[in-house]
Amino acid sequence: MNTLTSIILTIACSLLLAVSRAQADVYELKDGGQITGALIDRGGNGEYVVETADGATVTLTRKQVRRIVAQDERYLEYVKLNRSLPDTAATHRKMIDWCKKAKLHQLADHHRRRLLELEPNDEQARVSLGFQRHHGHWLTQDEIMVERGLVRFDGAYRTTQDIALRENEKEQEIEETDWLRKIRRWRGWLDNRRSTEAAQMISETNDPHAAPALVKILGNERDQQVRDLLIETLAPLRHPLAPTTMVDLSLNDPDREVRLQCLGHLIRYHQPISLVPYVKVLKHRDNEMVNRAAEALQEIGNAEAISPLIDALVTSHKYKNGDAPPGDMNASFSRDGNGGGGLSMGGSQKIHKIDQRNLEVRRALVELSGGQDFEYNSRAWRRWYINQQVHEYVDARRDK
Amino acid sequence: MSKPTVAIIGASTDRKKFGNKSVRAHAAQGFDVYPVNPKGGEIEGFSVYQNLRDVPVQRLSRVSLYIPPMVGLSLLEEIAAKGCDELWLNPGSDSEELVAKAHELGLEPIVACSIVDVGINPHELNDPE
Repeated sequence: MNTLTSIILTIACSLLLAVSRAQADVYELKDGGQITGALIDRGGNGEYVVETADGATVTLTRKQVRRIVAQDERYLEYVKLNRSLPDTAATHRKMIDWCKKAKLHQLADHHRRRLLELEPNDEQARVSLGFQRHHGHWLTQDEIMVERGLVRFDGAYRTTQDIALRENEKEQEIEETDWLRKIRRWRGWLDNRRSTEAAQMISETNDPHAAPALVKILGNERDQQVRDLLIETLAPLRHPLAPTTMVDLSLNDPDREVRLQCLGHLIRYHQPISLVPYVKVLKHRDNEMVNRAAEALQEIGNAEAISPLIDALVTSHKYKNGDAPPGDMNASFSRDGNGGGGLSMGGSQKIHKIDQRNLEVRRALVELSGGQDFEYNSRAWRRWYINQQVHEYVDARRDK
Repeated sequence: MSKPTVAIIGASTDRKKFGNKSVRAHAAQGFDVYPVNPKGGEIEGFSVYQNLRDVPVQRLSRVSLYIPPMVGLSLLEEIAAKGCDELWLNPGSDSEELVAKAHELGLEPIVACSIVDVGINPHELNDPE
């Protein structure tokens, strides 16, 4: 006798004497027991007053009841019917039909499974239970998918590689969440008598999984000393967020010292440094950003930045009336003939387009070129640069 | 026995794109292929259907997506209405939301490369330089 049949018979026994009511429910109790009966009243505190099949009345508090499973007439009829039938293939076929008509689909499947134990090649039962013929064998869809290298995971069939990646990501998320909790706690301590201990805990953090937490807390931090501590801790970590945050701060932090500090960390811990983010900023509409990028490129010291720096020696920027930086207005006309000037937009609001010479760009070029200085004459710089390329090319051929 | 059928949603005329490689891979492996792309036209000799409703098959063996997850999300009801045994969400076309919605609609999502599943390495479908 299998488990389901035992459960059914247990329920049936409790109903055996008389089930005159159309509706009986099973009250599953938290202590593991169950009572079957009809609800006849509710107590003042929500208690269930239940009349059992043998006429007894039981009052159950809400705390005693784990859940209530509704039973209906068809189910009770099924219990009675099933109890008296022999365990043969023909009987199970009949019960499958009966359950389908009574819309008791789970019980129909139960009889299909038993039928397959008795007659493993019953095609209709196989198909109804989701089996498919695959290379001469009956397999479930999951089994077929496994043969194709796919396993059900997180609501979809996936490759084992994909599953491994997702599990790894989940583990990382757990570790990262754990670090966020810890670093937040230590950050709190920095403001009280445990500050020395907290500073030590933070500075000793060397797990790359701590990087997202450090970046998140850094983003909201206003205290410069704490920011310095977080930056120092984050910088050497082997996590992609460490160099990207250093690049971001080396360009965008309002404090020049912090910018240079981050650049120093990049140079120390994350070589080779991509020039792309800095070269992009050489075209920034804000002139200060252009010069910040140039200063960073000078510090990085990669001669591949020379060509884009030449293009950024003099850049055009737009200013509203009176917003132009004093002294720079005279720099509108560059020596190489690139003109600049003002233009009127609308009635009273004037926008001035001004060509600005970028001192930091020039300094970077002098440094990267090994001491050349053609001031802001980009044509002269370009000529020198092309000559350098030709020399290198010729030298390379001689070596061969 | 009838041939398996596949609708390639996001099919492409560009032979470098996976939406084109998938058309070729499935055709090579004996599928009846129905490329779907709002632009219409022809891909690898197959007529392109502007939407899934126009595909002349009642229920497809598989639908394979080569579109961003947000676009896929907007097409799920149409896919469910057409019906398919397998919904392939190729790399880049899947998202948690898409998988969940597919389930709600009774579809069976598979997050993997449908070209690899038919036994072809997509790199084998690169044209010689």
